[in-house]
Amino acid sequence: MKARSRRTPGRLTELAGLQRGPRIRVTVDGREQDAYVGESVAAVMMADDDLELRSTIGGAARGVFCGMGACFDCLAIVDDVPNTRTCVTWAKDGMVIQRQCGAGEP
Amino acid sequence: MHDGERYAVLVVGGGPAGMSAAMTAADAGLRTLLVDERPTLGGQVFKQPGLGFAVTDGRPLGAQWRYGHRMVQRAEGSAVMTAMRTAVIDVEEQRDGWNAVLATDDAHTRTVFASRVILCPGAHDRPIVFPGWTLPGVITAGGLQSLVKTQRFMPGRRMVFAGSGPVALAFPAQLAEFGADIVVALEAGPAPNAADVARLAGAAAGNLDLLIDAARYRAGLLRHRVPLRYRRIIVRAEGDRRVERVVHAAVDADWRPIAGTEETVAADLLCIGYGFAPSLELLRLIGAGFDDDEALGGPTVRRDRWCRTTAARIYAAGDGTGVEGSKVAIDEGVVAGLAAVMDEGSLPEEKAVAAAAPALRRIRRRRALARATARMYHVGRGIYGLADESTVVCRCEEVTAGDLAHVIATTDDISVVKALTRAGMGPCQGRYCSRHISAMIGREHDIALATIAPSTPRMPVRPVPIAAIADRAVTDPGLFTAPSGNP
Amino acid sequence: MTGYDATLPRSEADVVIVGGGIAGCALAYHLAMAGTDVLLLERGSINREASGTNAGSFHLQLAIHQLSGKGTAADHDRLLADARLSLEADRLWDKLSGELDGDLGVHRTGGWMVAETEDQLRTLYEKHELEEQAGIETEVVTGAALRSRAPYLAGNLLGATYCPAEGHANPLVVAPLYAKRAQEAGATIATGVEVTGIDRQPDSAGGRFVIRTSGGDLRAHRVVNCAGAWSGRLADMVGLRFPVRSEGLHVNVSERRPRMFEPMIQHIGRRLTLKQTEVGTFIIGGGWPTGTSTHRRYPTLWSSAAGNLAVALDVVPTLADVRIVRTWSGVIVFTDDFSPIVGESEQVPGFFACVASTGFTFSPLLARQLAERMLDPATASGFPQRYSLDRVSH
Ligand SMILES: Cc1cc2nc3c(=O)[nH]c(=O)nc-3n(C[C@H](O)[C@H](O)[C@H](O)COP(=O)(O)OP(=O)(O)OC[C@H]3O[C@@H](n4cnc5c(N)ncnc54)[C@H](O)[C@@H]3O)c2cc1C
Ligand SMILES: Cc1cc2nc3c(=O)[nH]c(=O)nc-3n(C[C@H](O)[C@H](O)[C@H](O)COP(=O)(O)OP(=O)(O)OC[C@H]3O[C@@H](n4cnc5c(N)ncnc54)[C@H](O)[C@@H]3O)c2cc1C
Ligand code: FES
Repeated sequence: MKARSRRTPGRLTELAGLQRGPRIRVTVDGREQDAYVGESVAAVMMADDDLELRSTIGGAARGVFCGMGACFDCLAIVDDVPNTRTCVTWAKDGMVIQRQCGAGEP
Repeated sequence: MHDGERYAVLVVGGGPAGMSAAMTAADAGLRTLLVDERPTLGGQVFKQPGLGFAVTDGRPLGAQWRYGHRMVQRAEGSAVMTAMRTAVIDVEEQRDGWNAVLATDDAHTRTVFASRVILCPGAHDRPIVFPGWTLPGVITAGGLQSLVKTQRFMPGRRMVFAGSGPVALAFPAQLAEFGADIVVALEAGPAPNAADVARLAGAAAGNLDLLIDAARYRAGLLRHRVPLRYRRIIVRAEGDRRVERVVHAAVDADWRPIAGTEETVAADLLCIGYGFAPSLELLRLIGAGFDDDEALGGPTVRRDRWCRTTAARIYAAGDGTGVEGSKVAIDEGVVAGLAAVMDEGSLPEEKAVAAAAPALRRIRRRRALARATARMYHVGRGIYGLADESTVVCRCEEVTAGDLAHVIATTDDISVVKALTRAGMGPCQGRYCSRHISAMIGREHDIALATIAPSTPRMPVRPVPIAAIADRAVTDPGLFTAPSGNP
Repeated sequence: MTGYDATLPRSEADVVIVGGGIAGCALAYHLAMAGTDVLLLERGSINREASGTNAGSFHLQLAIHQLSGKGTAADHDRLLADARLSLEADRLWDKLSGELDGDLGVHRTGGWMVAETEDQLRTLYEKHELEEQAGIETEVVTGAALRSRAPYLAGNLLGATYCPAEGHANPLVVAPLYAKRAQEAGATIATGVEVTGIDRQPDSAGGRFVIRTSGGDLRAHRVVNCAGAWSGRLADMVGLRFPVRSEGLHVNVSERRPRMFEPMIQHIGRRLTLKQTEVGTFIIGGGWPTGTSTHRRYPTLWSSAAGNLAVALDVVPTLADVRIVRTWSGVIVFTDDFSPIVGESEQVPGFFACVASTGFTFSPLLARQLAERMLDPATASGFPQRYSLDRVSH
């Protein structure tokens, strides 16, 4: 079974009354990409439909779950600091983001 | 020990409850600090767009946003002092008030003193544990709502919504407006029947807005052709490192899946909205007394009619005390604010009583509606029975239901379970697993969920970097020596 | 069990042990293995006080800095004897996982004791000399050698003692495993039963003691006080005075991080113990105080976290961005004269005790020695006079 739909996952094109913040550049897993001021690091990491933000010590995949900084599932290495909650960390120009494994290895 | 900052009132949480409490106190002339860890005021229900986004047109944002935006503007224009991106991570009782430790941007901490503290920490989505709930693509309703409402971001292509209660209508309807492709929306409770409608109508005095909302949401789902299926619950999410399929089933009255009714649908996003659970960490830390009501999210803090908790000089209002929605939150904020002002000696009791009367009246009416909808929105025990042996219950420490069952067979003490399995020792501090573990203990030892004591609450209630805590000005108590006079 | 509501499973026993911490559980294990009729009473759950809330470190280097007394010849002898006891404890821990047939999480990571000032460095050398006399392997490392062996330590530290035998075990599992093995060997363990009084009946055939508990009375020939921080109260019940005082201690624990270093780290002049556990969390303590509370658990204090972590950063600066996720507290018992209280009372025959301050490291050993003594008073060696239960009651 495959999930088919009209939608492209990620940033909505229909902004319904809002305007994105200024465009910035960040690095995700070594690749430079666009982001917008006001976006969470989690959103930036999921922008091309890769929802897996980290793998746990047990090797399991995890992504955004609570989306409000409470569950600690969306952890990544942000500017060298591991275990950073990406859903409540805001993208900044020049930010370096890495998916993490285990207790915080890249 | 505090850094010299003193307030009459400290309000924790900048949602509707916190904003109204803080404005009430500040309007009465009390020096008031409002603290919230989010970048903007508004809390969950009035989530504001992320800092950086600009509002070009308020109309599409909806009446709720506009109402909230006005409230936020009013709070910002009031005498309330605010500290955003700032979490309250510890409170310690002093002789004539409380010290609170504030952590800003994960980078530095400071201690402030307040004569009175009003806790309005809100709620988070009620966690329900089922096989596959840890897969990427499983997201809580609140989490998805934040991404969509504040960042205009929606992961996934095809979504299943599974939930219950008022949100089971509201969330999918809102998400559909933003273009979500919702394969099916599942409501574990029953469809409203004639008797429910009659009861609702009876309770509708003053609650009309809520009924209209509900009707609008249902119409919205119809318009977007989202099939809404009652009495069905999420059973399982499946997939290789992300959600690929979602399995759901029909349930009995207690939300236990009925064998043979499973259906599987292809989807890459599963949004979970089984109501909310109050954020209790600060209330537990101060040693407040609790009652238990599953319909309100589980444990509910014990208060008098002035929103005073059992801890001296601490008040609580809003969803953090038992989930009753934003209207009740606003009114409770007013009551708690008035109580603090009265208790500070800045308002005579008769005046406080008169000022609180309208808010108290409205709260009573809302509660009548809640009773009327109880049949539809009661939370079935079945939510604690979805996990299988290999389902991870403690997400942080990756402890499975099987691991837990092993230990729970030998003890009914959740602290012992924690010690022997590490469940609840991770960074979320047990927020997402402790209720489920308590339910497992209750089932195994045949004791009521409400009577199972939680493990000892401890600061800091949010993880904080060592450098932000360390303070060389604190003197080392020195080496251990025998008290003088002894051998 | 969560309350003091359990009923007694039996109404008499040869030996009643009061307290289900590491001391009581280890003693129950050794006695039961030898076929003695043992009943252990614990008012709460097993291992929920000091034995389950401590940092789990093996303190094998001399704690001269903390427990030094006044520098007299007697102090010197005591320290030397303590050092020898460390050696025995060391050997016991080597075999304990095997003996109890379970994973106790024993890891010999080695341990540093660091010095920041000239004075402190001098103490390290003195300590090292005593340890050599006693046969504990330690070395003092300074300057460039220290930098290259422990690059994670702050550059301004003057020196450190290294003790390869130090390390840790998992305090969450040790006492429970002792308890399990004791039960398998025939011991009875009753939780949720609090001892409220002890009556002496020296001439009674049914046992020399009537023990009053929250679950009813029972008779026993011998009673052992393993009540840790509450041992003073138990002693009081039979008219003895113990030179003990209890203090709440604060501990911090961090999120998990990739391995940064192996050894545990202590400070010779400031309150610090620090280690990274097997799961990657850092446990940082060292004896900072808690508040007091009417609740049973002592509240941890912000000021203690702030002070304790400042010392930690002074010693290991790279911890700066590691997040603390939780604090906890435990209640420790200190003896005013730095010696444990172990053996049988002369004034109250049949009344025994096993109480120690660095009890996670030492209580398994002391409990074993006490069991040997109780099983065969004639051949087992006695305890030094300074351990006596009667030392302040006389
Ligand atoms: C995820 C979620 C989504 C919701 N969406 C809707 C909706 O769309 N429509 C609707 O009618 N109702 C919604 N609700 C219900 C809604 O939360 C309540 O009706 C209302 O927001 C409650 O207001 P409150 O002030 O009690 O709490 P909240 O609005 O939740 O505000 C609490 C605030 O406290 C802050 N806080 C908590 N702890 C700390 C701390 N230690 N330090 C600093 N700050 C802290 C939080 O950041 C938060 O901003 C939602 C609830 C949740 C949990
Ligand atoms: C924070 C902290 C860190 C520590 N770190 C270390 C370390 O790293 N290394 C080390 O070697 N040592 C350490 N210690 C010391 C060590 O934990 C203790 O010395 C040791 O655990 C004592 O064990 P115990 O069995 O004597 O006492 P406890 O474990 O306290 O057990 C006593 C038991 O008696 C029960 N009890 C009391 N009164 C009654 C009654 N009337 N009836 C029934 N039951 C009763 C109590 O409920 C309790 O369970 C630390 C202690 C603390 C508090
Ligand atoms: S998704 Fe829960 S903390 Fe970020």
